[in-house]
Amino acid sequence: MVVTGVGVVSSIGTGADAYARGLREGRSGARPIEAFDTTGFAHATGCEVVGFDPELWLRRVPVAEAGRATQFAIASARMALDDAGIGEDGLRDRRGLVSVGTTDGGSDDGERLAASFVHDGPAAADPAAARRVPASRLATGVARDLGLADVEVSTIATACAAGNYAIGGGVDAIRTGEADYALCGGADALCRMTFTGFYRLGAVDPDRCRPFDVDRHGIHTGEGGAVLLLEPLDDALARGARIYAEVLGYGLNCDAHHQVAPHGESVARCMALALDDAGISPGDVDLISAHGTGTKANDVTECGAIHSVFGADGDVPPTVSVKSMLGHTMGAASALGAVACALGIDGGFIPPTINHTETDPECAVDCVPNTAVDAELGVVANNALAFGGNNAVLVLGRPA
Amino acid sequence: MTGAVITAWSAISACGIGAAAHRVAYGDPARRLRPTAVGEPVPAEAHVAADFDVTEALGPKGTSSMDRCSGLAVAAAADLLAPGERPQGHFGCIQRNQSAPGGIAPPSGIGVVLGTTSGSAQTQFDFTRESQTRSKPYRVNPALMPFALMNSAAGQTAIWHGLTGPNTTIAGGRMSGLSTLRYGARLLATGRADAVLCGAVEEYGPARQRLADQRKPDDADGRPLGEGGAVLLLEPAAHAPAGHVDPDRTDANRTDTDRTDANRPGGRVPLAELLGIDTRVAVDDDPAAALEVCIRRTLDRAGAAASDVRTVAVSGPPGPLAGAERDAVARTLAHADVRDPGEIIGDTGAATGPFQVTLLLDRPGLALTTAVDEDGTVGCGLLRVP
Repeated sequence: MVVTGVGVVSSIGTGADAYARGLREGRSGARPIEAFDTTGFAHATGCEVVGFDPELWLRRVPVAEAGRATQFAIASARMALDDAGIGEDGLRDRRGLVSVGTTDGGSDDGERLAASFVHDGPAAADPAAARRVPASRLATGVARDLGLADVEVSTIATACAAGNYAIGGGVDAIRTGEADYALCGGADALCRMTFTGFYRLGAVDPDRCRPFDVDRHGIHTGEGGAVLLLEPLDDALARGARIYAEVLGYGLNCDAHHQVAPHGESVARCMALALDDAGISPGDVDLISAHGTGTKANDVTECGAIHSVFGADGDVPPTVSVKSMLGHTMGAASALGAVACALGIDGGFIPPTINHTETDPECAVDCVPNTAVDAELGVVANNALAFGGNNAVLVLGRPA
Repeated sequence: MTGAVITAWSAISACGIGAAAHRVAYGDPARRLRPTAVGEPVPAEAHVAADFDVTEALGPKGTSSMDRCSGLAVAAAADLLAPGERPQGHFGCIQRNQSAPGGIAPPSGIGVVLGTTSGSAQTQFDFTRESQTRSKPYRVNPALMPFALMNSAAGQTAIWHGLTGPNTTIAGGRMSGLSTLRYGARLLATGRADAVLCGAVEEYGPARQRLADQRKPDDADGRPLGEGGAVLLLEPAAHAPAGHVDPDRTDANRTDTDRTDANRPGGRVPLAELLGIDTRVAVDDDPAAALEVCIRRTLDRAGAAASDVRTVAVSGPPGPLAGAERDAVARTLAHADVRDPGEIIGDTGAATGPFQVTLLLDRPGLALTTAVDEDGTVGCGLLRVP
């Protein structure tokens, strides 16, 4: 099964080409947050998508009925189809799956409703916003806007690993023959609640997001969307499609340990599950796109897990964090990571980990600091971890 | 054929705690409780799971900030795990941190797949209220944050019971029952899990009531909201002996726990075989027609005739969608006995789907569960009850 189209809305570039350029140039999406009122916070830097116009992308779903994350999902899906050279009409006779991962879903609308209730009481009703709150709108919105009736839709709400979960759902539906194609990825909009939560936990870096750096202080919250079109290899070859990457496999597990602290042994198990599903060994992997949030705990735990899996079988491959450029885009994060991997395989480059000064000896990985490098990538692993102990690792390879 | 069977269930709602309490209320309308008045700040009537208190059910450790969605899920799941499947002493591991000895639970083949609408609306509201009203916007209770995320219920279920298998949250709204069963069956088919807890939870609180009041179509029938959670244990049919039928079983004396099966790891006999699931998106805004397509296609694929379906459980969405769902059922399965969990436990949102399934397990033969969501998705699932 292969990736034949990608669509991206991100703070460093929208569309496959602009996103690839942003990754190669090591662009930073960080800027002062304008999406919500940041009064009272000592610092509020985030990776906001600026200048996104939903009217350009939404054709059937009225813009007022779609929350910002739904708009990102729809735009990303449309771009993925355009990129693949398939019109939506070309999909109508095929059974499909649309799966979109998200952390917050319609919570940006939900928190605005909550705030207006707190300040103005029950008189301040906004039925349209209330209808945008259920997170199922993200995946259903994609199907509705593309006019796809015969599709299995699911919005996967497995927090910050949701993108990889959604892609994995597409992989399995195609493997079992229940779907002929899958449009899958993730989307999230900047949400004051999420920012506030991470800020309160002391996990937002006041200056720069610098994963694996000895001076890292946390995440930058970000937003965006990414959708991949997956198809069986034979179908892609039959229509002469451009093939970015082959989907080799994925793994899922749960720490079953702690709500917010990841567990290295369990993360290592998940990577091993993914390699096993892909039928490869650790020595085959040329690049790890890490979860790499830039928090003290995540990076040291994840790197420890990487060393335990890959260290035993030779050198640990380069391990990068695209969150250094994009911030933590929550449910979109691992989908944006997966697209970065596919673009890296296709374009022959490794995206850098920017804002990097000195690697934390406790991380001890080659994070490809600050500048992208050219590389022939055969196999790439894309990690995702989430609160709740939810891990998901996706393995992509160069098409045969 | 999905290759999956349902082998046990548990539930918590206004009917009480556990499958037995629900069977009593399902079987005897006189035992069902009327909705109760709930007060300020959002007055309403609702079917609250009044017997369920999170701290009482799970103890004081790790529960002081826990949302009711997570509490309902953890408690309902506990019923489905045999003592041998629950790591000894694992309760309380939530208190451990990473540096503590003991580490994580051993690898388990049990996955958790839970549905939701948008997580715990109350926890999200409380978090926002604190941020909006305290001297600094970040002076919030940090313990609330993970419980405000939609994956809290599934993650907590794994943490409390030591379930290291795939752990997935599907924001399926009223489609959650079908979505979690389909996803769970696929985890079994692909060998990613040996058994899956599939279900959904929906808390009751003023925040959810407030959202529902605003969302409600003008011509909605005004069905009260309900609170509850139902979890189904899904296992591969291959574990079950072929053609196993208990000739002595009748509807009247049937219970889920009094029979065992030596060939099944948990010693359980199938309560229902999951024959097929089909969903569609009503892109032309005709949900009744879309659901009719799903029903006919599901029957076709299973090689079943419409006349074989004896019971149907509907999802009862608010407003005119309920009529669309009933119309599709009437056009395809006119003779079937139609049941609606909302009449018993109120509108339990995402949890409606798994509750529908629990309403179908008392009558041998083919049974169908349908779902229609306000977002435009429709679907059905076909079960064979042995």
